[in-house]
Amino acid sequence: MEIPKGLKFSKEHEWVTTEDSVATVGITDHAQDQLGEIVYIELPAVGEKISKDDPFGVVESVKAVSDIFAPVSGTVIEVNEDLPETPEVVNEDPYGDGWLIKVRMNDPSDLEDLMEADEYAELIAREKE
Amino acid sequence: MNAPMRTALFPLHQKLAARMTTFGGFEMPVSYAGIIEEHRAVRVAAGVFDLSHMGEFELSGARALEILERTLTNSAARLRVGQAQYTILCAQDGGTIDDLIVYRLAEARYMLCVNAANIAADRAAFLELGADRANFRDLSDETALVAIQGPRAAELAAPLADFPLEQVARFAVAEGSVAGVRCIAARTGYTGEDGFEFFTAPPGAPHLFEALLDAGRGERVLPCGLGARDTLRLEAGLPLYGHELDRATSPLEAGLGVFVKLEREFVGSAALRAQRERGLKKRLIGLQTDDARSIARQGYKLLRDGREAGVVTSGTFAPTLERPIAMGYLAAGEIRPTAAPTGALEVEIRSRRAAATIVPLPFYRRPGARG
Repeated sequence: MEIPKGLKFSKEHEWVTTEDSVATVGITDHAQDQLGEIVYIELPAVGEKISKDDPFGVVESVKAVSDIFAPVSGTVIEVNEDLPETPEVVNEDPYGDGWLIKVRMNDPSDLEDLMEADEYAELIAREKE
Repeated sequence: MNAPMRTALFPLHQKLAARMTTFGGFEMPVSYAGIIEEHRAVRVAAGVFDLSHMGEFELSGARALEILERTLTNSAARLRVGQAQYTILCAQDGGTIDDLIVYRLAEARYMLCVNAANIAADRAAFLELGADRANFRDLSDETALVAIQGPRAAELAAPLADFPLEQVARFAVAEGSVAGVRCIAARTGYTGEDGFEFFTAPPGAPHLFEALLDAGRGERVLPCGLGARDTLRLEAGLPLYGHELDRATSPLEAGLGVFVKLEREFVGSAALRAQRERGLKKRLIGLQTDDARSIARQGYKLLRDGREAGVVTSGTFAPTLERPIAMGYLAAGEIRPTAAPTGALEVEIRSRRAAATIVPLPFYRRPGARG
């Protein structure tokens, strides 16, 4: 399971990378693997506000539906427009072309609650037990 | 909760790197290569399934037929030796205890294949109705079940058999060896395709499973898990116990009237006759969301003119149709043509509503199939 160093991770299996006050958010390799083949993704519109720990979107695989939780609070400034047509990209490249949204953060200290790669790896290992 | 049981094929599933889940008290494969790929393999070539979680009972002797006739909705008296039929076990109130297949193996010997999660309830129901006098045996623990399903199933499996497997008719059953493994071979399945189910002793099951896969090597034949089994049966409009069928639902409501022979007396027959006379309260329907994207899932409410009118029982993305499909129950009075001027049908999907249309079942019929 791929867990890239340098990203931040939530316990709900989202990843975050930041540039200044803009956070790019996606779901982790572990999350896409657990869901299986993704067939539908519901994302917020540009301009919508999202709140840390609240669901901001939905990802559906053949067998299940799952909320996507906001790892930070802020305003959506960009959504991945390719995903409605090709949701399988999230399975194929969850940390790259499968990114979901970009958010202008209200408070960068939200990031402090997120995990580093090694902590997230431990969380997954514990869930498997 | 007890630890889930494992089938004889468990080590093989591990070797094939299957993703596992617990279903009906068993640790079973959900998928190997992926649900969509496995589903498509079954539609265009063939797939091989471990169905050893299913339960098997045997009734034999002079009283076997009488017990089956008194217990089940379909008439086992219509079966000739070597034939099988789909049937339902009802409670006195007409609710469904289980749906199953009865195989007439010999003059006075019948095998029943039942759902894993219902083995205990079924056994209790049969014994309560005197099945011990028909030498009732629960063979579930000593029976493995391997299936090959798909348009190429017969051509791939027949060369492995020491008897003319391809001559076994649809819903017929024969005994013999396949890949050197003694089995009961039935031309039945749960995918909407042609195919066989092989009942065998657990020790031979892994070899049989691998031999069937080997027969399809180089073709588009894949091991398939319960994920693909679910999407395949849903496209074929087949009910799944715990979804379309349960104790609060009669086979008539589930659209299974053709398997209910009401001119006889059996457990629940009076209640079912009364239902038919009074009219059904709800009916099973096929559904599609109009946006062709939203997936209506089990438990989601169905709304007619904004009022609750039913519930979704199964829903998924249909790999063959490449769109979401669902089945559910709608109050009988709410089943009107969509073109009727009043009344939008909607599914409540989490916090929003999606427009939906009633469509005929099944969603998918294999090319060349009758009816």
